[in-house]
Amino acid sequence: MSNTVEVSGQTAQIKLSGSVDINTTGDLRNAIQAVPTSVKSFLIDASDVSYIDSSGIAVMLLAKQVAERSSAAFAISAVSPMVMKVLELAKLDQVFKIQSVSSSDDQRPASGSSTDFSDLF
Amino acid sequence: MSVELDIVSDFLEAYGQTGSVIDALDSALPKLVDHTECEAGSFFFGDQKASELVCQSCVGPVDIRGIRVPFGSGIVGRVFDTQTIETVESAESDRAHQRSVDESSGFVTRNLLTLPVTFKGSQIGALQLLNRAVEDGVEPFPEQFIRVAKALASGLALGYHSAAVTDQVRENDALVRDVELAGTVQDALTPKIPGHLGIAAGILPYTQLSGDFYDYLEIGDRVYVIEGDVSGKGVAASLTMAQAQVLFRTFARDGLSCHEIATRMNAELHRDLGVSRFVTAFIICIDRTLRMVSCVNAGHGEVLKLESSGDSSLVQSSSPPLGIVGGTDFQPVEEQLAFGAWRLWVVTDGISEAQLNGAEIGMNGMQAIARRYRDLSLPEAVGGTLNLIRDRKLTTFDDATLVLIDTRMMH
Repeated sequence: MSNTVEVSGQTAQIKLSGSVDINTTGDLRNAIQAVPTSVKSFLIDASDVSYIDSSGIAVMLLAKQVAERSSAAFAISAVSPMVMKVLELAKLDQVFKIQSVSSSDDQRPASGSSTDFSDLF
Repeated sequence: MSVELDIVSDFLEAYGQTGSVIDALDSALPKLVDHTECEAGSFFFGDQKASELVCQSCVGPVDIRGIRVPFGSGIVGRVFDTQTIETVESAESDRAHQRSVDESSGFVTRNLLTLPVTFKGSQIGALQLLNRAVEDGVEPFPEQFIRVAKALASGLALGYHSAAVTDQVRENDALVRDVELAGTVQDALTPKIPGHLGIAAGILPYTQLSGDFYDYLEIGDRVYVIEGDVSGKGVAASLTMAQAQVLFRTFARDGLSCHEIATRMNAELHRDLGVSRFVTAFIICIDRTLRMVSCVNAGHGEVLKLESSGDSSLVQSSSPPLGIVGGTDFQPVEEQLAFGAWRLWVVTDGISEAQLNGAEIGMNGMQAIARRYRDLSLPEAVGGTLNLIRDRKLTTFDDATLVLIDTRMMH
């Protein structure tokens, strides 16, 4: 799994995959900042993200800021349910325009709803 | 072989005594020039930032130290680029030869041997021997002389590499000391909360420096509390943490409401941080006169309120984290909780997203923990929760922080 930035014509496609955290976002930040100002549309696809931490959220915010600086459109085309949950919990769904939530979320650790927590104590 | 060893040995001995590659070369280069019966010798160091070769050491009738040659220029530049040893029998007939250097120095270059100085393929510079006295038509630099020069070039490369490693170790040591110092400062900023306030808290940093923090301030009949989580990690996050803590104390000291504290902290952080950093925060004001707890959740995830009856509810986030949106876009909602038989469990995602048997515990897990520890004292409940991580019953990859509030414990 890797994170990529692809510029095609006037569109920058940012594909986030797997674990998007402090260990995987360093090069991504540089790639986003290097997107030419001629780009008129930024699109993030986070449908294959299994885990995202605050560094990953910061990258999405960076892409939004870079887009705004060059008066380009910005949207998140799809997010995994895990990413959506994080965005909702932090009320970042007020900040991002999200087009769809993907149905597959296989890599996400299973929810704790059915876990027997007696193992803990 | 003994001459090669003598020259390299002299170089290394001088380097060991002075710690300076150039001082060592100043000592060894005259011996090489003398042994090879040349008129002059020089070493050019590759200054990667300036893309130039600069003469750092020389021996001969003219002092050319400090002379700079752009990468790729002259014979020395060519050898630096190609990393290939070159013997030039007639400098005059080599188009790359820079006559301007000879003209400005008054030195006339006739023949020269130039060797690249490299370590594991990395360019360091080039060593030159000039004007060996030979008759026309005779090879000026026979193999045995090249071998001696190569030995010094290798020693020189080793010296430069050693110096670079030493510099790196020094920098790393300084960095380790800085991080340790920052950790000490951070510990000092983490307060010990008196037991009579009905608040207990603890932090379990994932690395040496935590991005999580908590703080409290008692102002008259009010007690202000904050738990925060700075995005990112390391020294930069710890500096933002300190900034957020100072802002909290400043605005709390003014007796502002939670809403006002959050709004003003957001404005300051939004101005200073840029988009690359933000702070999730749960800010609480406990008013012991009105017997009310007011709170604002700025992107901090869900906060658990567990009643003594076992019922529970969640205080949801009402705004994005601090520092992301500015001005009127930031509209946190302040919630009011009357004093009662309940405990408020404020945790960072290092706890709520911790995993048990590969599954994230989420708020269901938090409820299980809160119910399990509800009869313990506040410090015991905090300690017990953090021990689940210390004892590896829960797995987390983030700082873990818990602030626990029970208004019944206030005196």
